[in-house]
Amino acid sequence: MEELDEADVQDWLSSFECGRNPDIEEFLRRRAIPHEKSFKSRTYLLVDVASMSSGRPTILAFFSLAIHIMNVPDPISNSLHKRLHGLYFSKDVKLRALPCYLIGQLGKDDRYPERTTGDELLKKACQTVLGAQHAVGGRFIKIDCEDIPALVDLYQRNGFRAVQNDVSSGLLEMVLFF
Amino acid sequence: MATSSFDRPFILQDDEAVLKFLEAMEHPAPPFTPEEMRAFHESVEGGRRLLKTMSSRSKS
Repeated sequence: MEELDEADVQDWLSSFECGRNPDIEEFLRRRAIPHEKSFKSRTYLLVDVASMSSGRPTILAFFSLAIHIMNVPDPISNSLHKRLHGLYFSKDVKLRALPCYLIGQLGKDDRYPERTTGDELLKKACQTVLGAQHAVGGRFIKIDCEDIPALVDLYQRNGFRAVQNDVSSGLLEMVLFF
Repeated sequence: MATSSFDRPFILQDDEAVLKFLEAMEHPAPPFTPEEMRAFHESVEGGRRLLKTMSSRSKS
């Protein structure tokens, strides 16, 4: 994106359609670039390689990743605290938070549902995080999931585990450890 | 997922949530093999090359 004109990229991203989930469509059309510019997240596009020569490749799907934090509740029992700390448990050090990665958005264009599967897209997002994890550490990925059986199944068969329902958003919070 | 996920704090609400978190931590199940990782990195490099080509075309 750095080497392309921002207005052109904005116009290009606006070609993405996801009527099933307006929040996903709105994100890529309106939020992805501001998020990039403010270092809030990074967005990755899956494009149709055959359309590259047009100078405006067809966007098949995308995902957006960010750095995130999990806050540890207080109080927490000593035994659970010890398990969270793992090898480095110390009674003198109170664990307040754990760094993690967030898959903040992930979606396919409605017009090309057969070009990639949700499993493939999710796997690419996880592999991208793994690259960052090799460089700087971090142990798990968090994702917020609508409590819809097909979606929950998608994440579960790719290694994510449900932790809790967030009261404020109604979303199921899931994690994947490497 | 939702755009709000970027801003909403992630706080384990109670011991039950902590237990589920620990269960996931102690039994990790990443969805890829080393071979798949190599293939992925190769595709990323291919994408970078294509982007570079696009950029040089738009400037010429």
